[in-house]
Amino acid sequence: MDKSVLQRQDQDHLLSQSSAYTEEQLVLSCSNLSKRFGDKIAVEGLSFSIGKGECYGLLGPNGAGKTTTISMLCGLMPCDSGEVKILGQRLTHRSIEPRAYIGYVPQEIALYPELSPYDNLVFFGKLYGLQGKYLKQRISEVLEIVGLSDRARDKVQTFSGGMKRRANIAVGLLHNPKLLVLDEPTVGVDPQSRNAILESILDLRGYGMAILYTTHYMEEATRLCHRIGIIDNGHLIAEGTLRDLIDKFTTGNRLRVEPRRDITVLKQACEKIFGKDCIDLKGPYIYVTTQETDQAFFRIAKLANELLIPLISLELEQPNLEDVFLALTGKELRD
Amino acid sequence: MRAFWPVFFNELHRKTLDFSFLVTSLVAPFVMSVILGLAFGHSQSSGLVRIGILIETKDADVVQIVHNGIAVAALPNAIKIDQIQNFSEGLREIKQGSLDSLIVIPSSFAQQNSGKQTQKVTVSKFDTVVNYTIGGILKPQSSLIQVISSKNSSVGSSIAQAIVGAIESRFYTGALVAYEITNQKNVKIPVPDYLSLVVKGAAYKVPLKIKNSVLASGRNIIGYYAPSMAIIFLFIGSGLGARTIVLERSLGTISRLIAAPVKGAPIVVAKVVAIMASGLISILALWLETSLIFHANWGSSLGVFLMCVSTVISMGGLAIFLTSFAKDDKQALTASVLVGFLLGLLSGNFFPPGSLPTYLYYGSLAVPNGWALVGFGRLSQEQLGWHAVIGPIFVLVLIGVIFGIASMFRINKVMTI
Repeated sequence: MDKSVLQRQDQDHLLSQSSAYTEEQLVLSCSNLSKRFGDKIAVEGLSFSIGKGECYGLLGPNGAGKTTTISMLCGLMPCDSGEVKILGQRLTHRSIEPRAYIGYVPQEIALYPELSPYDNLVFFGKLYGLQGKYLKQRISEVLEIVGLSDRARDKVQTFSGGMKRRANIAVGLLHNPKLLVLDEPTVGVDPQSRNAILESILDLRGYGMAILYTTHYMEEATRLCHRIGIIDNGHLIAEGTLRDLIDKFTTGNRLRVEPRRDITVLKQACEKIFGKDCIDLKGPYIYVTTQETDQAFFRIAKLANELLIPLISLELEQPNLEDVFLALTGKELRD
Repeated sequence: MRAFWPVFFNELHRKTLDFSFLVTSLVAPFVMSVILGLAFGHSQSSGLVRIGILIETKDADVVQIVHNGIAVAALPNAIKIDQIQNFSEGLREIKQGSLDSLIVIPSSFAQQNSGKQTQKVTVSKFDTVVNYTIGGILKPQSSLIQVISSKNSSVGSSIAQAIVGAIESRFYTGALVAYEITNQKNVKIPVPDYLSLVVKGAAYKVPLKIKNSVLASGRNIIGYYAPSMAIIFLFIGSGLGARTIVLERSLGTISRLIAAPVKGAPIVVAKVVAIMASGLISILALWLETSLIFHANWGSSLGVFLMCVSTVISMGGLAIFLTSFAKDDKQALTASVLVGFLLGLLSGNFFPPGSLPTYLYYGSLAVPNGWALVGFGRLSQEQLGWHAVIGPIFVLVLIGVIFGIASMFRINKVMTI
């Protein structure tokens, strides 16, 4: 884990705990949300809140309940129990006004493919009450933000996957919402486009907009979010800043050792020094978990030297969200 | 209602970019109506019925009676009468298909019809000969007029028989005059003089006036087929319109519409109205096209407009309702095309006006196609005013309102996540 990411998150967002938000700072609060589909529990007892300028990541594997949660938060489907408030106003399946504060970016490319991004923006802008010069100005601004100004009049169906995703985000931004809800906005796009999308979202954090971002990509949550909620089987199983989560749910740092040969011999030698529980073999690597990384670093180097086993690499690995998720659920975040 | 106009215009905008809609609503009905109009309007417009007359006598009185008979038949321009020089030539022309029927006036006609005699007319349909005897005030002796027709031209045979009937009636008119004169004067005159008297009597013009009303010109068959095809494609077009709503589920745009700060009802109403408006545009465009290009006469303008609106409401409502049950856009597409053509077949949209069997005609009134055809038929074929289509309009609007409301409930359900 890049230390600068952790530092930036701490600096960016001093108000990192939801309990610290005042009523005025609170953009979204939901409490005890539950939803069932027949016998299947999709979401149960879910509570969290997001403040102004905060980017909150809802991280979980596919089928964890992220999209169902978002559907309830945006008023797309009624919840069985619980309450959602946007800027203090209660949002129900039928309420109108609070919806105006939300910019919703669904997982699908929710655009009319036969129309241009400009025409799509005009249409959805009018649904949000935008018109005239202001609408044109906003269209110009959001197209600039997502980098599609030069393709504004081309049909969406001629776009690449990444461009469609960016156009999809542009619609969510158009009416300058207080809360931007992004449901896995990078699914199915190439790394270059994904990077462009993440850069756009990083820029948006500077506008003071609250962002709810769902993903099953650990790196995205790490890069973008001030706070992260981990959801699995419809339950929010942990919540906090990245540092909080790592400190709370992981045991220590890891050393990654990559010997040129005799990996089993080196592993057995390491087990004698650090204990069997601290050693893990994965592919060409031996992972050594320890609190005292500096000492361990030199001891492994010395051991390899004594055994005449040359090392390709010996690196310190900080724990990440993958480790947090593994510690919490006993399974890995999967695609 | 903030959402109504953006959704309405967006739907129309999308339709202008939808190739399948343009083909279904604007091109296909025009092409189909022209093809069917030309196919079924052919015989009415180009005068193809050709009847040959062979008079096997040089007797001027007989020739005069025949000509008087033809004249009194008041044949339309579409029927051409040609004098044939001999029997074998007439048969050859029938076999070649250049002649529909041949009427043969025998050489014995003058002889046998001298005096108090009447006609026995034999009608033969080429190899088949049907004889019948005409009774009358004069005691009969037989004379043979043959009508020989091509098996492929039942119309030609009927027309030729009608001409013989006209010749016969003209002869009887003359005979009656001669009979009355000779009876009143109680004189006996020689046969040639009697025949001459008959000819003079036959030439007597009965003081009757004929009002010749033209109901439909040859080209006006397109005036019938154009709305007829438009009705079918209105159904298909509306079904395709509803398909785009089903498609919105998979596109994900429905969730974006629901998330917007507007009520759902105006969105649903706008979508239904937009589908119907596009249907109205297509049928009005067809009216304009066929009127300008083919001079098709759809009938009273007000009546046609009201029929167009009511037909769009009923066909649109029914099509949207049925299509809204489709699980995906492919099902919706198949359902609209199949049901559209099935309704068209059952209701007689593909058949010439008035040719539907009675049981099908009454069956067709169970669906809006049938009522629409009745209304457009009254306007274009019977040239009646708009008052004559109030009944069909009422039924169509009623059907449209029922299915339109049901459609809105269905679409509202489709638009729920």
